[in-house]
Amino acid sequence: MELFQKIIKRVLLAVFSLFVIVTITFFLMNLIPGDPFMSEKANPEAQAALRAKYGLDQPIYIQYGKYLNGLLHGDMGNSYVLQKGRAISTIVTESFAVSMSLGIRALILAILIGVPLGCIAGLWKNKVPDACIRVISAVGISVPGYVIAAVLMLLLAVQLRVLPTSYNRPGGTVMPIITLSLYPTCYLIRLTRASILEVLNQDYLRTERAKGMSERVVIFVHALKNSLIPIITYLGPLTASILTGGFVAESVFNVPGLGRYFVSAINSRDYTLIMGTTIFYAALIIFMNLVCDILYQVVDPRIKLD
Amino acid sequence: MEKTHLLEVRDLKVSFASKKTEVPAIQGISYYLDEGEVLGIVGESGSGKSVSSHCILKLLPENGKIQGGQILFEGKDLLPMNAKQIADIRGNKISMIFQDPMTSLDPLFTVGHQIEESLKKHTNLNKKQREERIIKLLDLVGINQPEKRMKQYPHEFSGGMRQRAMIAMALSLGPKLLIADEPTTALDVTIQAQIIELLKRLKDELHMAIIFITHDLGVVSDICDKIIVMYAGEIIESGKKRQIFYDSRHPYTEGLLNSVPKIEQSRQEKLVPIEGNPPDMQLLGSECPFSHRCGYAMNICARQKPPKLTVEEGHEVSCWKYYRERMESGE
Repeated sequence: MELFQKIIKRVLLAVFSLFVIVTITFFLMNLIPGDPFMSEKANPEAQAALRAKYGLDQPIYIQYGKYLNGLLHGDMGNSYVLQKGRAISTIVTESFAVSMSLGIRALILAILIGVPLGCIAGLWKNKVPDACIRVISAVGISVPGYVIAAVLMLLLAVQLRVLPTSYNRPGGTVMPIITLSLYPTCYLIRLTRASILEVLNQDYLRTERAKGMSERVVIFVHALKNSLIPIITYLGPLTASILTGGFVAESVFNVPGLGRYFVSAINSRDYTLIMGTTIFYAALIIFMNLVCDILYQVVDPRIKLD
Repeated sequence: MEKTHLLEVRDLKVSFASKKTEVPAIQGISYYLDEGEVLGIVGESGSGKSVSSHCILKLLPENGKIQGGQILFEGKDLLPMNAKQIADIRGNKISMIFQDPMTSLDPLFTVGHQIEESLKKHTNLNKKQREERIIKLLDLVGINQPEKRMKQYPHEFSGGMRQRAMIAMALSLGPKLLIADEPTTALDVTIQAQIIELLKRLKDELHMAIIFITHDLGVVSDICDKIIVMYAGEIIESGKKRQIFYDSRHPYTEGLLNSVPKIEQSRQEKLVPIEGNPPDMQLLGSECPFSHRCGYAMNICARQKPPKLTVEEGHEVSCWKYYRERMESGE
């Protein structure tokens, strides 16, 4: 019951955060020069007519009030440019479904590879496995996503011809998933390694050994559980960002996901879409952080949700 | 036939691997301990007092290496034992408590769970019996409401209470020997006194031997039967409590005694510290390691290590000054 009340409190706080985010985004967005219809080749009168039609000729605070009002009624408006006339909620949910299906697989891959490799590197510190893993993770972190995507494509699709370049063909999800998961995998390796090294020096492990506990219990029960804490912190925002898709991976491999819209919506000043993607992303991050905080409490008794 | 002691350390040598070389930490120390005895090991930081005791349960850090010697427990050498054999002794026949109770308990598990682990490993008690035993143990070390406290996490305990919990954990299997590595150093003075009282009472109730490591001679005087004074990885003086406190022969021991505040001391009287710092173990040669700081140092002290001399039964000292006094008195 106590937990339930705390969650309610957090949800209310989250609503407030979202309101702040909506406000800031709305005004920042209007500060960018240009508007959704500036690229229309049509004459100035036609542009003005379009603006009038969507209410963009009204003062900014009225536009803001109207937008908030719509939002409260669950209406995020329609896209102005990119998918003209379609409801933002439909665009976001459809493209998010695509991004999420890739993202979940990339996330699982990153955790399944990153955490164990990080443990191995930490437990064999300064030995051969550690050295190899560290080189790999350093490369993975420092090479930007578009390079990875391009190299993968060149290697697997053009040279070896084992995978298709496009997302909709069979096997087309493999390269986007690798591209998406590479950075988080490598980051998780480094995080886990650092965390486990920190924990291995803790006095309580010596206490466990002094009690006659086997190395198996010392490492797999006490050391691992303690080193999970910083990893959980990272997993919250990571999940939010990986589920909403990477801009690079989705652009290069032509994935019709949410990630692409983040940047293209801004470029084309598709106001309602900018708002839609931002609100969605912010809500997801807030939600994932809440999940993390609850998870924390499960793992670490010292942390209380408040 | 020689009598078997509960614990006998023979010529123990330990070194630590540093970047380039092996740095000696313990340079051949020997001592013994009988059942029910309390041995105090005293020395400055870096004198090897903790390292020597961690060797007994083979709990040295990774870069530490035992270079030679024997550690006989009930007549059996612990050093050649494999991991499983030593694990059967740890926490069972020999257990340990540590300096900092704040960091020596795993924060993610309840205190009860951490005691239970030990019982699970070393006994065949069922869950209910284990719980009863934990409650009894917590009660024994003076923790109120043990049924409630055992379900709490270490952060819900104060420093003194945590050290009590550590002691309960260490005593859970009625060990023959308890190694207490500066158990009161991290606690404030009133709690310190309580913990020492507790250890004294438990020693008598459970008839166990204790090795008590500390840099505080005041603490030692309270609880120990025998005292070893260590300096730079060597035992420079050892004896019964009375011999060390009232008949010490080594200038270093004297210095330690002079640096303890006394209750009858007037405010004007200043404490006499030992000047200088402990030597760099890497640079030590054949000299007496204390010669650099010793007010009585003679030529020979800088050239040769002093021999170990017996003052009277049970009281040994390694010092040229005492050697000369003996020669002069014509013995």
